[in-house]
Amino acid sequence: MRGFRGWLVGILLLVAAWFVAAATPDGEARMTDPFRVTASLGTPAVGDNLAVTVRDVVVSDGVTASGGWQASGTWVVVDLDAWTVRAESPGAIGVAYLVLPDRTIAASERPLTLDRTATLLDSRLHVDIPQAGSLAFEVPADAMTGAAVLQIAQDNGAGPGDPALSLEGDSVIELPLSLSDLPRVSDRALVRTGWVSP
Amino acid sequence: MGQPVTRAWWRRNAVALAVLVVLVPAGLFALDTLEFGTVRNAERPVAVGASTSIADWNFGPVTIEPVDAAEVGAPSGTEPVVVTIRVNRGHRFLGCQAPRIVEPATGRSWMSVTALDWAPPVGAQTTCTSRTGIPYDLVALVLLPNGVGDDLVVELSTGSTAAGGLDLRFAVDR
Repeated sequence: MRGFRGWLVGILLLVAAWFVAAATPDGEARMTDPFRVTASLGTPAVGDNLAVTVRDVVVSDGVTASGGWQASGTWVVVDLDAWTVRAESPGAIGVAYLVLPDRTIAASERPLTLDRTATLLDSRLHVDIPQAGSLAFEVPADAMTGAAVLQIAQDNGAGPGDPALSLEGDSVIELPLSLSDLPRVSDRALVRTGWVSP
Repeated sequence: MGQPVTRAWWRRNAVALAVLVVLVPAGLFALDTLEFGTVRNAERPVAVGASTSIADWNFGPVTIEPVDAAEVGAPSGTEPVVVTIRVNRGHRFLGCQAPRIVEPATGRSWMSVTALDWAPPVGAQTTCTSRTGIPYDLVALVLLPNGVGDDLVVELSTGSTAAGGLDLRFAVDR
């Protein structure tokens, strides 16, 4: 196939590829989107290899953690059970975010200062053996209105700095929240990571 | 077969050749950078109760024995077990990772657990490091949930493929 016919076939293939690209939703921009699993309070939500049951979500004006760590401020505290589905490596909640209308806040690592088991963040999880624990988000006091989404996922190696990177290519468990409807307490003790009691 | 490679041929294909000069090194760079070349070790299945050799090392047989859940502080609804692999170390260096239990029927796998109150038996080891020629038991405490089947595989990864390592898959009928 030489000359005119070769050029013709090449151009036709390019046009066909353009149609395929045009028919793909948002083109390549969506190729690495996470698989979203919507959770509800008290019901297991199962992702690719991570599963959680969110037990409770409260707003607290201060938190205390195992090891004696404590802090004041406005905190969203999430109590949950977590386990893995297929494998134990990777087997941890690597990233968790609270997506507010105007900003995204990563789960705080501050409570882990004195005790690495003070929250479930980065705790080793086990296949089909739940562990109970907490996640804590330190939020601005004026941000507690409107809708929010709690996002929980494994760590894909990108770290928590940029959710667009750290959530890509994996499943993410999402719990929709109404911030103004969350119960408010003056202080909250985080659940130290441990086996779920029957 | 085809036309002889003449000066005219080089001129005709100059653009394609220039593209190749760019793309071939770029492809090799991508392979290296993106770790496409990182593959799992080759696997070697080992029958129930059997042992196998890699160079002058010998691995097996393998057993899975239950331990008292209350004694090690395991939560209810779980079954702690000890995996034991008989190892006879050879002269050549061969690293290994802690063994893991795989349930072939579901694809689930469990690794050794450190959050329980358990210590290896005297003389047993949790790594492949030992003095040459002295047989020992490589052990790991693994926490299984209730309901795991009896047909299991204990997987022991012994170094990288490049270093002559293999993933040994010991069938275990407990």
